[in-house]
Amino acid sequence: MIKVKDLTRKYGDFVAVDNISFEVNEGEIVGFLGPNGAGKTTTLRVLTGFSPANSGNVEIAGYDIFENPIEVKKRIGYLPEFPPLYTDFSVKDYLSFVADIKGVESRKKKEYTEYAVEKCGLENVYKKTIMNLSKGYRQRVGIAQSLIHKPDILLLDEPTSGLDPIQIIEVRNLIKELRKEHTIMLSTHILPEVSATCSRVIIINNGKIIAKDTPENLSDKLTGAVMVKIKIANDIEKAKIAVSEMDVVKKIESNEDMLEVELKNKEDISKVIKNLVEAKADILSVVPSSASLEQVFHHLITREEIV
Amino acid sequence: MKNILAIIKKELKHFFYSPLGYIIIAVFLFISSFFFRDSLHSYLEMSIVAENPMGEAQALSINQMLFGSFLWVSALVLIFIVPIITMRIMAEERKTGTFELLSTSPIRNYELILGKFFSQIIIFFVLMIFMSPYFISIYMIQKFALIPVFVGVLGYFLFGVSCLAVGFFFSSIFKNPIHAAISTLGMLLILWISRWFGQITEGIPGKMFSEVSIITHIDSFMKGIISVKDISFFISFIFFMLLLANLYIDSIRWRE
Repeated sequence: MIKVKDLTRKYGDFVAVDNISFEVNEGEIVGFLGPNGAGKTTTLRVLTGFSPANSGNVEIAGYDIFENPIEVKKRIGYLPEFPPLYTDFSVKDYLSFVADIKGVESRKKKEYTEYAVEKCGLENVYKKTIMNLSKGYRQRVGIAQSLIHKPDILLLDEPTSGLDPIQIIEVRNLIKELRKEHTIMLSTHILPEVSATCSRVIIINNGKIIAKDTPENLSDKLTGAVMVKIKIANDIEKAKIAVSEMDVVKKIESNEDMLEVELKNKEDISKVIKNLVEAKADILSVVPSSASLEQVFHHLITREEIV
Repeated sequence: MKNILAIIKKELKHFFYSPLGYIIIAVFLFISSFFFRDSLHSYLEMSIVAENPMGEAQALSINQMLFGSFLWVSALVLIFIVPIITMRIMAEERKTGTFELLSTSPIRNYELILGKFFSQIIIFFVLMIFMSPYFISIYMIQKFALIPVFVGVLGYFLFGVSCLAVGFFFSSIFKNPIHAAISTLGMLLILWISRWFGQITEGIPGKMFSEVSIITHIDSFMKGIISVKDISFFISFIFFMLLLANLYIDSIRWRE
């Protein structure tokens, strides 16, 4: 759906996006993750046809963005970081205008508007002036605006920024729901967002892509090992000795009633448990923990050697 | 064409949904009616003088003496009203971020500019329709030759649209509507007074100052004369301003 090759975008001498390449396939939700100022918005703006590029190719839905911007724009829905709303309009008037400029045919306009309104849950505020809507609703109007022409691709720039926790969950659920009908690429600097919604992550920092993978794989790659926390009810020292003799164990630590064991493979967890049972340890809980995205992210942007 | 119509519709909604639209119309009508009363008053005084056998007989053209002088003063009022009409037309889109919506939609730059500019012309046309009772009421009292008056109104219209084009250009280059309004007002005043510069300067520079002034080009219209030179001045002026606006809007994409 989206093919980006060797894309570079400069502002004067400042290189905002530095020779990046990636692909997004149909039906995916791809998270574009990076700290503020990493080049996420710039990349999305190039993909929408808003911003030109200094070099590189961008192909969207089979069309070259620089040669055929109008065709590409017909197939893209875009939600900028701040929803582009005419606050003096009612939701109805606003969506009607957007449908017109997005090239929705008059006979399909009603059906498409109903689709966007229903998806985003705007029935109750449809006739209200946007000025009087809460931030959460404004964001939904922004999303409705991006899908009113039923585009193949949705580009969402920080779709949950500035919302309260309940609104964030609502918007995430909405995005997951939209996945059925659109290919989605969303940018964010909030990590849980990616693990909550995306099937794939592209991490960008200082204009360069530093990692591309699924959220789970990224965590595994970072640690290269599996951590298990085992809670023991009886003699912890005895249990520690029993486990530390095993050759699959890389490292072991104990504090109070908790054993923290670092293993080479996930499969070795069962061996450890067997050993503990033979040593008559009473196991209360076993919790495997892999590195959180937070750690991956921090790791990647401080030492850019992974992948 | 469909895109242009969609943009015209949207802009008219903005104007007529907001109190500002009605304030502009009210203020403009209040001031222009005052000037009309004033023009009518001096015309009547001159008529009395002319009818007096002792007075110097002179040809009193209702077109030049009444409508011409009224439209001329009214053009001055336009210089102050136009910046307020045009200030937000492009600037606000960039200030609120809706410019991104427009430029990521499948519409072309010229459609955006024409749509917006036509909406401004329509608003100006509405203002002119509100002024029509002045003319109609006089016509009901005393029939006059219509064509010269229409020519005067055409000149006034072209002048107004040229002012709108200046306003459009400045609204395109600023993000803040107030900055756009002040620059437009300044530019229109400069274009106005350059005529006086022309009068006090000799030779070719004087001629240039005078020709650049938009007000110079409405004179012949006010006399009921359609001059190809003046019409082509106005049309090229409007075209030039829109072209500059287009170039600037195109360049925004490289900077943002």
